[in-house]
Amino acid sequence: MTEGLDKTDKELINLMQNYFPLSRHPYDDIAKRLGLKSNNVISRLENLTEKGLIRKVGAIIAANKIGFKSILAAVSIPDECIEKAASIINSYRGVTHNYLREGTPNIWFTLTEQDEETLFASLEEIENKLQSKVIRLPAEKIYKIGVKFDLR
Amino acid sequence: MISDEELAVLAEVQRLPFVSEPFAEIAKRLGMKEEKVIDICKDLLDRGLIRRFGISVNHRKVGISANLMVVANIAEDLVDEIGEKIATIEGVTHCYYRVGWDYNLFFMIHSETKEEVITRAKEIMEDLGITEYKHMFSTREFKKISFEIPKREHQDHEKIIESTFQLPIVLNLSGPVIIFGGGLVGRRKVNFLSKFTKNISVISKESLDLPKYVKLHLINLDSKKFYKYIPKNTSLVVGALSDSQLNSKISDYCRTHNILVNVVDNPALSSVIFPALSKNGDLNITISTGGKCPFLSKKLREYLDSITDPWTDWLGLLSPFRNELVGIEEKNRVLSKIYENTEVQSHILKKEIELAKIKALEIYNVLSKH
Repeated sequence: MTEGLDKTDKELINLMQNYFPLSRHPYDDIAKRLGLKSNNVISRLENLTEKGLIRKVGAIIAANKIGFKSILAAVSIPDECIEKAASIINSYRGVTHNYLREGTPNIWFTLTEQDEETLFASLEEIENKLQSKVIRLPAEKIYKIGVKFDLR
Repeated sequence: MISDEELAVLAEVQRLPFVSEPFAEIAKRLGMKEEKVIDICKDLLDRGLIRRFGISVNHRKVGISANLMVVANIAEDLVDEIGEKIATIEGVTHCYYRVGWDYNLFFMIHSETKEEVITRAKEIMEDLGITEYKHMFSTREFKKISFEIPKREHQDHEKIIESTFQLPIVLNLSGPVIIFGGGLVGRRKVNFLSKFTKNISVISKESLDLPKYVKLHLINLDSKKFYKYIPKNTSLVVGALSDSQLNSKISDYCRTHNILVNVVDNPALSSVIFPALSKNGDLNITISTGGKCPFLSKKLREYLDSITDPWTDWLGLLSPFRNELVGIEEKNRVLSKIYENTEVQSHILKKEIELAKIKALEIYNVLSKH
Protein backbone atom coordinates (compact mmCIF):
# COMPACT_ATOMS: atom_id res chain seq x y z
CA MET A 1 0.00 0.00 0.00
CA THR A 2 2.78 2.42 0.77
CA GLU A 3 4.69 2.06 -2.47
CA GLY A 4 7.09 4.86 -3.18
CA LEU A 5 8.07 4.99 0.49
CA ASP A 6 11.24 3.30 1.69
CA LYS A 7 12.01 2.38 5.26
CA THR A 8 13.76 5.68 5.95
CA ASP A 9 10.83 7.70 4.56
CA LYS A 10 8.48 5.86 6.89
CA GLU A 11 10.76 6.44 9.87
CA LEU A 12 11.01 10.10 8.95
CA ILE A 13 7.21 10.46 8.67
CA ASN A 14 6.57 8.57 11.90
CA LEU A 15 9.07 10.70 13.79
CA MET A 16 8.19 14.06 12.29
CA GLN A 17 4.46 13.84 12.91
CA ASN A 18 5.14 14.77 16.50
CA TYR A 19 8.71 15.97 16.46
CA PHE A 20 10.03 19.19 15.08
CA PRO A 21 12.59 20.87 17.28
CA LEU A 22 12.25 24.63 17.61
CA SER A 23 15.95 25.17 17.18
CA ARG A 24 18.17 27.05 14.73
CA HIS A 25 18.92 23.92 12.69
CA PRO A 26 15.88 21.67 13.12
CA TYR A 27 16.63 19.46 10.12
CA ASP A 28 20.10 18.72 11.56
CA ASP A 29 18.52 17.58 14.81
CA ILE A 30 16.05 15.36 12.96
CA ALA A 31 18.88 13.90 10.84
CA LYS A 32 20.84 13.06 13.98
CA ARG A 33 17.89 11.23 15.50
CA LEU A 34 17.66 9.02 12.42
CA GLY A 35 21.36 8.72 11.72
CA LEU A 36 21.08 10.61 8.44
CA LYS A 37 22.69 13.61 6.85
CA SER A 38 20.84 16.90 7.13
CA ASN A 39 20.61 17.45 3.37
CA ASN A 40 19.23 13.93 3.01
CA VAL A 41 16.35 14.82 5.34
CA ILE A 42 15.66 18.01 3.38
CA SER A 43 15.72 16.26 -0.01
CA ARG A 44 13.43 13.48 1.27
CA LEU A 45 10.95 16.06 2.60
CA GLU A 46 11.01 17.91 -0.70
CA ASN A 47 10.41 14.69 -2.56
CA LEU A 48 7.54 13.61 -0.26
CA THR A 49 5.90 17.03 -0.60
CA GLU A 50 6.23 16.96 -4.38
CA LYS A 51 4.55 13.55 -4.54
CA GLY A 52 1.78 14.78 -2.28
CA LEU A 53 2.49 12.20 0.42
CA ILE A 54 2.91 14.94 2.97
CA ARG A 55 0.95 18.16 2.85
CA LYS A 56 3.39 20.35 4.66
CA VAL A 57 5.90 20.69 7.44
CA GLY A 58 5.11 23.37 9.97
CA ALA A 59 2.80 24.53 12.70
CA ILE A 60 -0.61 22.87 12.98
CA ILE A 61 -2.83 25.66 14.25
CA ALA A 62 -5.60 25.22 16.80
CA ALA A 63 -8.12 27.31 14.86
CA ASN A 64 -10.51 27.60 17.79
CA LYS A 65 -7.79 28.99 20.06
CA ILE A 66 -7.07 31.94 17.79
CA GLY A 67 -10.73 32.86 17.65
CA PHE A 68 -11.81 30.97 14.56
CA LYS A 69 -14.98 28.89 14.73
CA SER A 70 -15.37 25.41 13.23
CA ILE A 71 -18.29 23.14 12.68
CA LEU A 72 -18.99 19.69 11.28
CA ALA A 73 -21.85 19.77 8.84
CA ALA A 74 -23.73 17.04 7.00
CA VAL A 75 -26.18 17.04 4.15
CA SER A 76 -28.18 14.41 2.26
CA ILE A 77 -27.65 14.71 -1.47
CA PRO A 78 -29.15 12.40 -4.13
CA ASP A 79 -26.54 10.37 -6.06
CA GLU A 80 -26.94 12.24 -9.33
CA CYS A 81 -26.20 15.60 -7.70
CA ILE A 82 -23.16 14.60 -5.66
CA GLU A 83 -20.49 16.04 -7.97
CA LYS A 84 -22.20 19.40 -8.19
CA ALA A 85 -22.82 19.54 -4.44
CA ALA A 86 -19.23 18.57 -3.61
CA SER A 87 -17.83 21.29 -5.83
CA ILE A 88 -20.14 23.91 -4.35
CA ILE A 89 -18.98 22.94 -0.85
CA ASN A 90 -15.32 22.76 -1.89
CA SER A 91 -15.43 26.27 -3.33
CA TYR A 92 -15.51 27.69 0.21
CA ARG A 93 -12.00 28.42 1.39
CA GLY A 94 -12.94 27.60 4.98
CA VAL A 95 -13.94 24.03 4.07
CA THR A 96 -11.03 21.88 5.22
CA HIS A 97 -12.55 18.38 4.99
CA ASN A 98 -15.23 17.15 2.65
CA TYR A 99 -16.11 13.46 2.39
CA LEU A 100 -18.70 11.24 0.82
CA ARG A 101 -19.76 8.70 3.42
CA GLU A 102 -21.93 5.61 3.51
CA GLY A 103 -25.40 6.10 5.00
CA THR A 104 -27.52 9.21 5.41
CA PRO A 105 -26.59 12.02 5.41
CA ASN A 106 -23.95 11.24 2.83
CA ILE A 107 -21.83 14.38 2.46
CA TRP A 108 -19.85 15.45 5.53
CA PHE A 109 -17.71 18.54 5.68
CA THR A 110 -15.98 20.75 8.19
CA LEU A 111 -16.05 24.49 7.87
CA THR A 112 -13.80 26.95 9.71
CA GLU A 113 -14.37 30.69 9.59
CA GLN A 114 -12.99 33.72 11.37
CA ASP A 115 -16.03 34.15 13.59
CA GLU A 116 -19.40 32.63 14.34
CA GLU A 117 -21.28 35.17 12.25
CA THR A 118 -19.33 34.34 9.08
CA LEU A 119 -19.55 30.63 9.85
CA PHE A 120 -23.32 30.59 10.05
CA ALA A 121 -23.69 32.95 7.10
CA SER A 122 -21.57 30.60 4.95
CA LEU A 123 -23.58 27.58 6.11
CA GLU A 124 -26.79 29.32 5.24
CA GLU A 125 -25.41 30.25 1.83
CA ILE A 126 -24.32 26.64 1.20
CA GLU A 127 -27.73 25.44 2.30
CA ASN A 128 -29.42 27.78 -0.18
CA LYS A 129 -27.14 26.77 -3.02
CA LEU A 130 -27.64 23.05 -2.32
CA GLN A 131 -31.37 23.45 -1.71
CA SER A 132 -31.03 20.91 1.11
CA LYS A 133 -31.07 21.11 4.86
CA VAL A 134 -27.54 21.21 6.27
CA ILE A 135 -27.25 19.55 9.66
CA ARG A 136 -25.05 21.64 11.95
CA LEU A 137 -22.96 19.71 14.44
CA PRO A 138 -20.89 22.02 16.60
CA ALA A 139 -18.49 20.23 18.96
CA GLU A 140 -19.59 20.58 22.56
CA LYS A 141 -16.46 18.78 23.67
CA ILE A 142 -13.28 17.65 21.98
CA TYR A 143 -11.91 14.52 23.61
CA LYS A 144 -9.21 13.91 21.08
CA ILE A 145 -7.75 15.57 18.06
CA GLY A 146 -4.27 14.33 17.40
CA VAL A 147 -3.80 12.64 14.14
CA LYS A 148 -0.77 10.42 14.07
CA PHE A 149 -0.51 7.60 11.61
CA ASP A 150 1.93 4.81 12.22
CA LEU A 151 3.47 3.63 9.02
CA ARG A 152 4.77 0.08 9.07
CA MET B 1 -5.85 36.02 22.56
CA ILE B 2 -3.21 36.63 19.95
CA SER B 3 -1.21 39.73 19.05
CA ASP B 4 -0.63 41.00 15.51
CA GLU B 5 3.04 40.12 15.74
CA GLU B 6 2.23 36.57 16.83
CA LEU B 7 -0.31 36.26 14.05
CA ALA B 8 2.26 37.35 11.47
CA VAL B 9 4.71 34.70 12.75
CA LEU B 10 1.97 32.08 12.81
CA ALA B 11 1.04 32.78 9.19
CA GLU B 12 4.65 32.11 8.16
CA VAL B 13 5.49 29.08 10.30
CA GLN B 14 2.45 27.08 9.26
CA ARG B 15 4.57 26.07 6.24
CA LEU B 16 8.27 25.92 6.97
CA PRO B 17 10.80 26.21 4.17
CA PHE B 18 13.15 23.29 3.52
CA VAL B 19 16.35 25.17 4.22
CA SER B 20 19.01 24.57 6.81
CA GLU B 21 17.86 27.51 8.97
CA PRO B 22 14.10 27.79 8.40
CA PHE B 23 13.42 30.16 11.30
CA ALA B 24 16.16 32.53 10.17
CA GLU B 25 14.59 32.63 6.74
CA ILE B 26 11.18 33.44 8.20
CA ALA B 27 12.72 36.05 10.49
CA LYS B 28 14.13 37.73 7.38
CA ARG B 29 10.73 37.77 5.69
CA LEU B 30 9.18 39.40 8.74
CA GLY B 31 12.04 41.75 9.56
CA MET B 32 12.51 40.14 12.97
CA LYS B 33 15.26 38.37 14.84
CA GLU B 34 15.55 34.59 14.53
CA GLU B 35 15.45 34.06 18.31
CA LYS B 36 12.31 36.15 18.53
CA VAL B 37 10.55 33.98 15.92
CA ILE B 38 11.58 30.81 17.79
CA ASP B 39 10.50 32.27 21.14
CA ILE B 40 7.10 33.22 19.76
CA CYS B 41 6.69 29.69 18.34
CA LYS B 42 7.55 28.12 21.69
CA ASP B 43 5.13 30.39 23.47
CA LEU B 44 2.30 29.73 21.00
CA LEU B 45 2.93 26.01 21.42
CA ASP B 46 2.83 26.32 25.23
CA ARG B 47 -0.40 28.27 25.07
CA GLY B 48 -1.95 25.64 22.78
CA LEU B 49 -2.52 28.07 19.89
CA ILE B 50 -0.20 25.85 17.89
CA ARG B 51 -1.34 22.27 18.38
CA ARG B 52 1.94 20.74 17.24
CA PHE B 53 4.87 21.25 14.93
CA GLY B 54 5.68 18.65 12.33
CA ILE B 55 4.51 16.88 9.23
CA SER B 56 0.95 16.89 8.05
CA VAL B 57 0.50 13.52 6.33
CA ASN B 58 -1.76 12.90 3.38
CA HIS B 59 -3.05 9.71 4.98
CA ARG B 60 -4.77 8.32 1.91
CA LYS B 61 -1.64 8.64 -0.19
CA VAL B 62 0.60 6.93 2.36
CA GLY B 63 -1.70 3.92 2.44
CA ILE B 64 -3.96 4.71 5.40
CA SER B 65 -6.99 4.54 3.19
CA ALA B 66 -9.66 3.14 5.50
CA ASN B 67 -11.30 6.04 7.29
CA LEU B 68 -14.22 5.09 9.47
CA MET B 69 -16.47 7.47 11.33
CA VAL B 70 -18.32 5.75 14.15
CA VAL B 71 -21.36 7.47 15.61
CA ALA B 72 -23.24 6.47 18.73
CA ASN B 73 -25.91 7.94 20.92
CA ILE B 74 -24.75 8.06 24.53
CA ALA B 75 -26.71 9.21 27.57
CA GLU B 76 -25.60 12.72 28.46
CA ASP B 77 -24.33 11.81 31.92
CA LEU B 78 -22.09 9.10 30.49
CA VAL B 79 -20.79 10.80 27.38
CA ASP B 80 -17.75 12.46 29.00
CA GLU B 81 -16.56 9.25 30.60
CA ILE B 82 -16.96 7.26 27.39
CA GLY B 83 -15.52 9.99 25.20
CA GLU B 84 -12.42 10.27 27.34
CA LYS B 85 -11.95 6.49 27.32
CA ILE B 86 -12.21 6.30 23.55
CA ALA B 87 -9.74 9.17 23.23
CA THR B 88 -7.02 7.08 24.84
CA ILE B 89 -7.38 4.19 22.39
CA GLU B 90 -4.66 3.82 19.78
CA GLY B 91 -5.81 4.29 16.22
CA VAL B 92 -8.56 6.69 17.23
CA THR B 93 -7.64 10.03 15.72
CA HIS B 94 -10.60 12.24 16.61
CA CYS B 95 -13.31 12.02 19.23
CA TYR B 96 -16.03 14.60 19.76
CA TYR B 97 -19.27 15.18 21.61
CA ARG B 98 -21.54 16.99 19.18
CA VAL B 99 -25.13 18.14 19.35
CA GLY B 100 -27.65 18.60 16.58
CA TRP B 101 -28.36 15.13 15.20
CA ASP B 102 -29.57 11.60 16.07
CA TYR B 103 -26.13 10.66 17.42
CA ASN B 104 -23.95 12.63 19.79
CA LEU B 105 -20.61 10.82 20.03
CA PHE B 106 -18.36 10.86 16.99
CA PHE B 107 -14.99 9.23 16.57
CA MET B 108 -12.69 8.33 13.72
CA ILE B 109 -10.49 5.34 13.21
CA HIS B 110 -7.92 5.24 10.45
CA SER B 111 -6.07 2.20 9.21
CA GLU B 112 -4.86 0.40 6.14
CA THR B 113 -7.84 -1.85 5.53
CA LYS B 114 -11.57 -1.65 6.00
CA GLU B 115 -11.67 -4.99 7.87
CA GLU B 116 -9.08 -3.78 10.34
CA VAL B 117 -11.02 -0.65 11.33
CA ILE B 118 -14.33 -2.54 11.56
CA THR B 119 -12.76 -5.07 13.93
CA ARG B 120 -11.20 -2.27 15.90
CA ALA B 121 -14.50 -0.40 16.23
CA LYS B 122 -16.23 -3.60 17.28
CA GLU B 123 -13.63 -4.28 19.99
CA ILE B 124 -13.88 -0.73 21.31
CA MET B 125 -17.66 -0.80 21.48
CA GLU B 126 -17.78 -4.25 23.07
CA ASP B 127 -15.31 -3.17 25.73
CA LEU B 128 -17.50 -0.20 26.56
CA GLY B 129 -20.69 -2.26 26.42
CA ILE B 130 -22.19 -0.12 23.66
CA THR B 131 -24.38 -2.15 21.35
CA GLU B 132 -25.97 0.54 19.23
CA TYR B 133 -23.68 2.43 16.95
CA LYS B 134 -23.31 3.17 13.28
CA HIS B 135 -20.45 2.89 10.79
CA MET B 136 -19.95 5.63 8.27
CA PHE B 137 -17.07 4.81 5.97
CA SER B 138 -15.79 7.52 3.74
CA THR B 139 -16.07 6.38 0.15
CA ARG B 140 -14.64 9.48 -1.50
CA GLU B 141 -12.47 12.37 -0.44
CA PHE B 142 -13.55 15.63 -2.08
CA LYS B 143 -11.27 17.84 -0.05
CA LYS B 144 -8.79 17.58 2.77
CA ILE B 145 -6.53 20.49 3.59
CA SER B 146 -4.90 21.76 6.73
CA PHE B 147 -6.45 24.79 8.30
CA GLU B 148 -4.21 27.75 7.53
CA ILE B 149 -4.54 31.41 8.23
CA PRO B 150 -4.03 33.75 5.27
CA LYS B 151 -0.55 35.23 4.94
CA ARG B 152 -0.19 38.94 5.19
CA GLU B 153 0.61 40.48 1.86
CA HIS B 154 1.80 44.01 2.42
CA GLN B 155 3.78 44.13 5.60
CA ASP B 156 4.18 47.92 5.44
CA HIS B 157 0.42 48.42 5.73
CA GLU B 158 0.16 46.14 8.69
CA LYS B 159 0.49 48.76 11.33
CA ILE B 160 -1.75 48.49 14.31
CA ILE B 161 -4.36 51.16 13.98
CA GLU B 162 -4.86 53.27 17.05
CA SER B 163 -8.47 54.28 17.44
CA THR B 164 -7.31 57.77 18.48
CA PHE B 165 -6.48 58.37 14.81
CA GLN B 166 -9.97 57.47 13.72
CA LEU B 167 -12.54 60.21 13.32
CA PRO B 168 -16.19 59.16 13.22
CA ILE B 169 -17.95 61.42 10.72
CA VAL B 170 -21.22 61.55 8.85
CA LEU B 171 -20.39 61.51 5.16
CA ASN B 172 -22.50 62.92 2.33
CA LEU B 173 -22.26 60.56 -0.59
CA SER B 174 -22.52 62.83 -3.60
CA GLY B 175 -20.49 60.78 -6.07
CA PRO B 176 -20.76 57.12 -7.03
CA VAL B 177 -19.95 54.25 -4.69
CA ILE B 178 -17.98 51.43 -6.33
CA ILE B 179 -18.01 47.92 -4.88
CA PHE B 180 -15.51 45.38 -6.16
CA GLY B 181 -16.72 41.83 -5.58
CA GLY B 182 -20.18 40.31 -5.59
CA GLY B 183 -19.73 37.64 -2.95
CA LEU B 184 -21.53 37.41 0.33
CA VAL B 185 -19.63 40.31 1.84
CA GLY B 186 -19.93 42.48 -1.25
CA ARG B 187 -23.68 41.97 -1.29
CA ARG B 188 -23.86 42.86 2.39
CA LYS B 189 -22.07 46.11 1.65
CA VAL B 190 -24.59 46.84 -1.12
CA ASN B 191 -27.41 46.35 1.38
CA PHE B 192 -25.72 48.58 3.92
CA LEU B 193 -24.76 51.36 1.51
CA SER B 194 -28.06 51.39 -0.36
CA LYS B 195 -29.63 52.85 2.78
CA PHE B 196 -27.67 56.03 1.98
CA THR B 197 -27.24 56.24 -1.78
CA LYS B 198 -28.69 54.80 -4.95
CA ASN B 199 -25.58 55.62 -6.94
CA ILE B 200 -23.86 52.23 -6.55
CA SER B 201 -21.88 50.14 -9.04
CA VAL B 202 -20.84 46.55 -8.43
CA ILE B 203 -18.02 44.84 -10.30
CA SER B 204 -18.55 41.09 -10.15
CA LYS B 205 -17.69 38.06 -12.22
CA GLU B 206 -20.95 36.39 -11.33
CA SER B 207 -24.40 37.61 -12.14
CA LEU B 208 -26.18 38.85 -9.02
CA ASP B 209 -29.65 39.57 -7.88
CA LEU B 210 -29.33 43.27 -7.03
CA PRO B 211 -31.74 46.17 -6.57
CA LYS B 212 -32.62 47.77 -9.94
CA TYR B 213 -30.77 51.04 -9.34
CA VAL B 214 -27.43 49.24 -8.76
CA LYS B 215 -25.24 49.16 -11.87
CA LEU B 216 -23.64 45.77 -12.40
CA HIS B 217 -20.43 45.33 -14.40
CA LEU B 218 -20.30 41.64 -15.16
CA ILE B 219 -16.60 41.02 -15.83
CA ASN B 220 -13.67 38.97 -14.76
CA LEU B 221 -11.58 41.75 -13.33
CA ASP B 222 -8.14 42.40 -14.83
CA SER B 223 -5.71 43.30 -12.08
CA LYS B 224 -4.17 46.02 -14.27
CA LYS B 225 -7.40 47.66 -15.39
CA PHE B 226 -9.51 47.83 -12.26
CA TYR B 227 -9.09 51.63 -12.04
CA LYS B 228 -11.21 52.02 -15.19
CA TYR B 229 -14.21 51.33 -13.00
CA ILE B 230 -13.36 54.10 -10.55
CA PRO B 231 -14.59 57.44 -11.99
CA LYS B 232 -12.93 60.69 -10.90
CA ASN B 233 -15.80 61.88 -8.73
CA THR B 234 -16.10 58.58 -6.81
CA SER B 235 -17.12 59.08 -3.19
CA LEU B 236 -16.20 55.67 -1.87
CA VAL B 237 -14.68 52.39 -3.01
CA VAL B 238 -15.17 49.02 -1.34
CA GLY B 239 -12.75 46.15 -1.99
CA ALA B 240 -14.63 42.94 -1.30
CA LEU B 241 -12.80 40.57 -3.63
CA SER B 242 -11.56 37.16 -2.56
CA ASP B 243 -8.22 38.07 -4.19
CA SER B 244 -6.43 39.85 -1.34
CA GLN B 245 -3.63 41.08 -3.58
CA LEU B 246 -6.07 42.86 -5.85
CA ASN B 247 -7.91 44.30 -2.84
CA SER B 248 -4.60 45.69 -1.71
CA LYS B 249 -3.88 47.21 -5.16
CA ILE B 250 -7.29 48.86 -5.14
CA SER B 251 -6.54 50.25 -1.70
CA ASP B 252 -3.19 51.67 -2.86
CA TYR B 253 -4.76 53.26 -5.91
CA CYS B 254 -7.56 54.91 -3.95
CA ARG B 255 -5.30 56.23 -1.28
CA THR B 256 -2.90 57.80 -3.75
CA HIS B 257 -5.89 59.36 -5.53
CA ASN B 258 -7.55 60.62 -2.33
CA ILE B 259 -10.60 58.42 -2.69
CA LEU B 260 -12.06 56.93 0.45
CA VAL B 261 -11.64 53.16 0.47
CA ASN B 262 -12.75 50.25 2.59
CA VAL B 263 -11.18 46.83 2.21
CA VAL B 264 -13.40 44.31 3.93
CA ASP B 265 -11.91 42.63 6.97
CA ASN B 266 -8.74 44.64 6.61
CA PRO B 267 -8.76 47.87 8.60
CA ALA B 268 -5.06 48.35 7.81
CA LEU B 269 -5.86 48.75 4.10
CA SER B 270 -8.90 50.94 4.71
CA SER B 271 -9.20 54.68 5.07
CA VAL B 272 -12.81 54.11 6.10
CA ILE B 273 -14.37 51.39 8.18
CA PHE B 274 -18.10 50.96 8.40
CA PRO B 275 -19.60 51.25 11.82
CA ALA B 276 -22.42 49.05 12.98
CA LEU B 277 -25.59 51.01 12.45
CA SER B 278 -28.77 51.21 14.43
CA LYS B 279 -31.13 53.09 12.11
CA ASN B 280 -34.61 53.97 13.11
CA GLY B 281 -36.12 56.53 10.77
CA ASP B 282 -34.03 59.68 10.97
CA LEU B 283 -32.27 58.49 14.10
CA ASN B 284 -28.90 56.96 13.30
CA ILE B 285 -26.62 55.54 15.96
CA THR B 286 -23.30 54.19 14.78
CA ILE B 287 -20.90 52.02 16.72
CA SER B 288 -17.28 51.26 16.05
CA THR B 289 -14.68 49.25 17.90
CA GLY B 290 -11.90 50.59 15.70
CA GLY B 291 -12.10 47.41 13.63
CA LYS B 292 -10.97 45.38 16.63
CA CYS B 293 -14.15 43.45 17.35
CA PRO B 294 -17.04 43.93 14.91
CA PHE B 295 -18.90 41.16 16.74
CA LEU B 296 -19.25 43.39 19.78
CA SER B 297 -20.45 46.31 17.64
CA LYS B 298 -23.13 44.03 16.30
CA LYS B 299 -24.26 42.99 19.78
CA LEU B 300 -24.41 46.58 20.97
CA ARG B 301 -26.33 47.52 17.83
CA GLU B 302 -28.89 44.82 18.54
CA TYR B 303 -29.26 46.18 22.04
CA LEU B 304 -29.66 49.73 20.74
CA ASP B 305 -32.23 48.56 18.20
CA SER B 306 -34.23 47.20 21.08
CA ILE B 307 -34.26 50.52 22.96
CA THR B 308 -34.30 53.23 20.26
CA ASP B 309 -38.03 53.22 19.64
CA PRO B 310 -38.95 55.99 22.14
CA TRP B 311 -35.98 58.04 20.92
CA THR B 312 -37.29 57.94 17.38
CA ASP B 313 -40.62 59.18 18.73
CA TRP B 314 -38.82 61.96 20.59
CA LEU B 315 -37.14 62.93 17.36
CA GLY B 316 -40.46 63.07 15.56
CA LEU B 317 -41.96 65.12 18.39
CA LEU B 318 -39.21 67.68 18.90
CA SER B 319 -37.90 68.38 15.42
CA PRO B 320 -40.94 70.49 14.23
CA PHE B 321 -40.57 72.77 17.28
CA ARG B 322 -36.84 73.06 16.68
CA ASN B 323 -37.55 74.36 13.18
CA GLU B 324 -39.87 77.07 14.53
CA LEU B 325 -37.44 78.34 17.14
CA VAL B 326 -34.62 80.78 16.45
CA GLY B 327 -31.21 80.71 18.13
CA ILE B 328 -29.48 77.86 19.82
CA GLU B 329 -30.23 79.07 23.35
CA GLU B 330 -33.91 79.49 22.63
CA LYS B 331 -34.02 76.04 20.99
CA ASN B 332 -32.35 74.39 23.95
CA ARG B 333 -34.53 76.24 26.48
CA VAL B 334 -37.84 75.29 24.91
CA LEU B 335 -36.90 71.76 23.83
CA SER B 336 -35.57 70.89 27.27
CA LYS B 337 -38.79 72.05 28.91
CA ILE B 338 -40.78 69.80 26.63
CA TYR B 339 -38.34 66.92 27.07
CA GLU B 340 -38.32 67.20 30.87
CA ASN B 341 -42.08 67.40 31.22
CA THR B 342 -43.24 64.24 32.98
CA GLU B 343 -46.59 64.17 31.21
CA VAL B 344 -44.90 64.27 27.77
CA GLN B 345 -42.45 61.59 28.89
CA SER B 346 -45.21 59.32 30.04
CA HIS B 347 -47.12 59.74 26.74
CA ILE B 348 -43.99 58.89 24.75
CA LEU B 349 -43.33 55.77 26.80
CA LYS B 350 -46.91 54.64 26.31
CA LYS B 351 -46.64 55.40 22.57
CA GLU B 352 -49.45 57.97 22.88
CA ILE B 353 -47.84 60.18 20.28
CA GLU B 354 -50.88 62.40 19.59
CA LEU B 355 -51.35 63.14 23.30
CA ALA B 356 -47.63 63.91 23.60
CA LYS B 357 -47.93 66.36 20.69
CA ILE B 358 -50.88 68.18 22.30
CA LYS B 359 -49.06 68.56 25.59
CA ALA B 360 -45.84 69.63 23.88
CA LEU B 361 -47.67 72.26 21.85
CA GLU B 362 -49.23 73.58 25.03
CA ILE B 363 -45.78 73.98 26.62
CA TYR B 364 -44.40 75.52 23.45
CA ASN B 365 -47.19 78.08 23.23
CA VAL B 366 -46.66 79.18 26.82
CA LEU B 367 -42.86 79.43 26.51
CA SER B 368 -42.60 81.03 23.09
CA LYS B 369 -44.80 83.94 24.20
CA HIS B 370 -42.04 85.06 26.57
